[in-house]
Amino acid sequence: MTTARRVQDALFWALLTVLLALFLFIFFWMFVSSFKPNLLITSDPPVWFFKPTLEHYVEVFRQNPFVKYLLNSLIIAITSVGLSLVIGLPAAYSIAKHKQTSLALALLVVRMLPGITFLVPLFIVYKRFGLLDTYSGVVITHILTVLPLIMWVMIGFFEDVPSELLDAALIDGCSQLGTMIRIMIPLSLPGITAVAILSFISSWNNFIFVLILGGSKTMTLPLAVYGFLAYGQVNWGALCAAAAVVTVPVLLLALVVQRYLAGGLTMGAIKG
Amino acid sequence: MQQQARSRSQHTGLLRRVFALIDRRLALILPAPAVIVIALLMGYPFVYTLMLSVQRVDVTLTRFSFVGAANLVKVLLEDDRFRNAVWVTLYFSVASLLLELALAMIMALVLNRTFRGLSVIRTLFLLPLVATPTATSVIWLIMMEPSIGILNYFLELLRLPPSLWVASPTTVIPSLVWINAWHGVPFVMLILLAGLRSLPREPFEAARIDGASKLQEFVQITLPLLKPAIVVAMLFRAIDTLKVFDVIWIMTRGGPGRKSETLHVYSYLTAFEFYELGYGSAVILVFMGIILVISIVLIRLRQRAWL
Amino acid sequence: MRSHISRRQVLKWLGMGTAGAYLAACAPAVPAASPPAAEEAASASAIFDWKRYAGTELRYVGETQPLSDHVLSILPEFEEMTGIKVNTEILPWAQMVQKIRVELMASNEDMDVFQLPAGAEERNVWFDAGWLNDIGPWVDDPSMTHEGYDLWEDMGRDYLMEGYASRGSLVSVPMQMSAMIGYYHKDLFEEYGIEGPPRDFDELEAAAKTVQEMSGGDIFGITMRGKPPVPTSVFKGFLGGMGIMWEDEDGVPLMDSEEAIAAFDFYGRLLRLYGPPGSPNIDHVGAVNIFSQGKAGMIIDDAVFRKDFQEPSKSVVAGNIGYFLMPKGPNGQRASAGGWSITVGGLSEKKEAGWYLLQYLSNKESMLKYVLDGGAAPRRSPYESAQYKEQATQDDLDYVQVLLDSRAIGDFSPPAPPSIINLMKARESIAQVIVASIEGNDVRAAAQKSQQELLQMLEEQEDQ
Repeated sequence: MTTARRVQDALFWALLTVLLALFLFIFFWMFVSSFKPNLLITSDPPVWFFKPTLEHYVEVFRQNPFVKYLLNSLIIAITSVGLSLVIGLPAAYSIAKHKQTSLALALLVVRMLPGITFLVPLFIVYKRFGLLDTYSGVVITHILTVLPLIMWVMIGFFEDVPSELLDAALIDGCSQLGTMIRIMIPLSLPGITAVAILSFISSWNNFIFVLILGGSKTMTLPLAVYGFLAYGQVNWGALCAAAAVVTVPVLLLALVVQRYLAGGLTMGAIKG
Repeated sequence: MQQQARSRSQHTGLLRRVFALIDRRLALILPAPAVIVIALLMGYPFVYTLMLSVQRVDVTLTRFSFVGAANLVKVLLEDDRFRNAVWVTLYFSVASLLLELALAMIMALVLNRTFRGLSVIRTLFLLPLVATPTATSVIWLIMMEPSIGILNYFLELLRLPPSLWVASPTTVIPSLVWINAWHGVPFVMLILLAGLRSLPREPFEAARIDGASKLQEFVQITLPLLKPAIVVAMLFRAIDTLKVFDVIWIMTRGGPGRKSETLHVYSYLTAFEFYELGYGSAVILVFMGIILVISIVLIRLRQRAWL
Repeated sequence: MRSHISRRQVLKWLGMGTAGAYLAACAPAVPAASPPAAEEAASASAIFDWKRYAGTELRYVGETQPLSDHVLSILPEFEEMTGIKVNTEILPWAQMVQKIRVELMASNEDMDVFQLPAGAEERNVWFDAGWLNDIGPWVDDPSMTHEGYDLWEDMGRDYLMEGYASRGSLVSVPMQMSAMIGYYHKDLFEEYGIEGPPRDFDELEAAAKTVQEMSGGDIFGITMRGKPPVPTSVFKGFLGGMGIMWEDEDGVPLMDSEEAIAAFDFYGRLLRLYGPPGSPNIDHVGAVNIFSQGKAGMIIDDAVFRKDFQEPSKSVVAGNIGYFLMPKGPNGQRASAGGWSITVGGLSEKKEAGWYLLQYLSNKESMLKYVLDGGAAPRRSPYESAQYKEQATQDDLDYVQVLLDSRAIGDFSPPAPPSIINLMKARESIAQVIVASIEGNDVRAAAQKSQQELLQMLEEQEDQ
């Protein structure tokens, strides 16, 4: 190895370390602080070595029904993603297959509109139909954000499946519906997995809909953490623990399915 | 027996015909549920917002009075606060996109080689993208605390003066831009990386023969070839940046002194803090309009870049 | 140290029921028609039944603050005694306000019992819209209210009708005798040779300056709210010190008057020179946090936070705090007073069960427990109880004394001009002047801008 190469290598690793620190320090700090006794969290200079304590986590789970919020988040995310897949996959297939570009464009516009633009009217409708603070009510709004995402990404994926394959299936006597179910869906399974995970995360992270349309029954984790930033709440440790409880599931999910995730993220954007 | 068999065949015949019908009309039927859901969930609210925007509504939502275009006119012509929100949004979005592009480009170039641990590191970089913004905003807020926050401790280590971060009118947007970029850079990086990986080899080989420097190579070959990827990444990040709410709401509520009051925050304030639902709806409508114009421009750009 | 009254004095004084602001405020203006005790007891026990609404499910919406801790702590007993199930939603202030308003706007029938976030004028609008109930008749109906509830006399009819009524009807019941009071770090004051807590604006600034300078900037002189819209409730006391309040007799805002500008200037200067950096982004949560971390010498904020400051697990200054009355200004001395109250929703389908909950939360036993835990109830009886007399420390007595004094000079107006219905918007506008002042910008220009905005709000109100 030449010295030039070695210098280049060293530079590369140095740069990489700096970037990693820049982007990951917050997680490190959050976890460390969540195990730190309260009086040490704000000490100046910061203390890095200490006897870890679980008191903040105990407090988070004792003072609040965090298990229930966790279940709420799970139920809402899984249901809204499941339903959106059922409605969204056929539509995406059709748009990809029949080149329904106007639909695709409309979809992109829908993706652009922020939630606030529907909140006032939705609230009034929800009130009329008794959907406030119900799972179905929250799930419907999450479908609103998740469905366009699923369709958008999947259009790209479906377009990628070689059309010869489909034509062959059609000639073999498969119906169009059959082609979709037997050929398209299995072939696109990695894409579907990826988009399902992405949508799960986006539903899990959603804040504004539950803020207004939810209530005690449907309180999700992000809202519960926001609630921790509260009147008289001077407990940074508990705040960090609560934040950790919310982020750990998505971080773990991202690590476990990382291969699909990167694929899904770029797919929706590059294709379609 | 025979009858039974016949009825069954009739039955399946009917089913088959139904299926055939479905199959022929598939282009209409498949997207229908999705279209209906989206149209219902978006169309009705849109019309309702339109109706509210021409009325004045009292704080209890019980008294309505028709004011015609007065609300809209006021938003567009008289409202200083709205104008401020437009500028803040513009500043925040453009700065975010530029920072994200620069950082993501550096990261993509760094990661554009094969080495042991590449996939692990790439995954680590994805974490900010999936982390719950509500939770991370809370943590950023603590870290940016001006007197005892850890970020100022680091500045002190580097012999830099402490910053007020989101608490000062001059640094609030840069701080929020950083947080927004922190969430968005991984996405841009992924797309650029995919773009870099799919670049053809020939132009680079030709350039190397011509004796071009690394920088020349980057500016003259890599960048132009990456343009489609850049446009796409920016398009999606522009969408997400216009939609940012949780981060700003939790960290500043638009302050200090309305210095971080974006259109989204202002819409929320008028509708859900001041309960001026009529006027708020007018603000929301204009906000929608701005987003639509931007999306059309971006989509056009994208189509051009892609073709 | 100023007027250090003895524990016995306070007790005697409280018990006597003749002197003192608290008792003056409590004395019923109209003698409550009180039937002979025995008769009342007989009729009440015959009809009032805690189990009457057993099986009902109620919703309680409140704010994350020490008062809600108290509410949550006594709910299980209530549920067991009445068979009423209570679902609670405890949210941060801004979120709670928003939740309550949005749901009422949508005529939600299950806004049963909640903390009332509306100011005086807005309360009238709410009352007119049917969002609030007239609680009075229930209080007087022995079949609806348990024996020994004794609201009018124990809290004071005047006090209730002045601060918690709308169009002549009682609409909510106060839970905390609240005021913006000063807290100071005792050891620190001693160490720096500051003689007692500040009595006027000059002493306040001097004390803040001393702490800031003698600690070399490590400890801030004072911390207060700066983040819109919340500072206006603290700021009110500063306006009072300059000799004015939000508006003149005709309901015209006074935010660009010389007095108001002087108040904005002073409030902003305190925080700019002796407050934590970044005060424009610090709300009550932040300020309370800074003070309880021992990073500031003083704080002026809600009396309700005493429980948190004195809680060793949450505060490093626990046991080391003194209290002081809102200092006197050049032209007067007013304490921003008021206090959280709880109400039964007017749209609720379960009003009566809701009233059961409200009366339970605000009855003598509940308030006694609250006081014993370090809160300050707006009832007289807890302070007269043997239990309190036995338990009360000098610190408890000091605290109550400051609250009583605050009440004497209390201004019960909302934290923004009362004539303006849109309280939130008015608060936000005024708070922007405070921000400008903290940042050292042109206070006069900012004040004029806010004045214009307030005038415009009034004008639009007229159009409605």
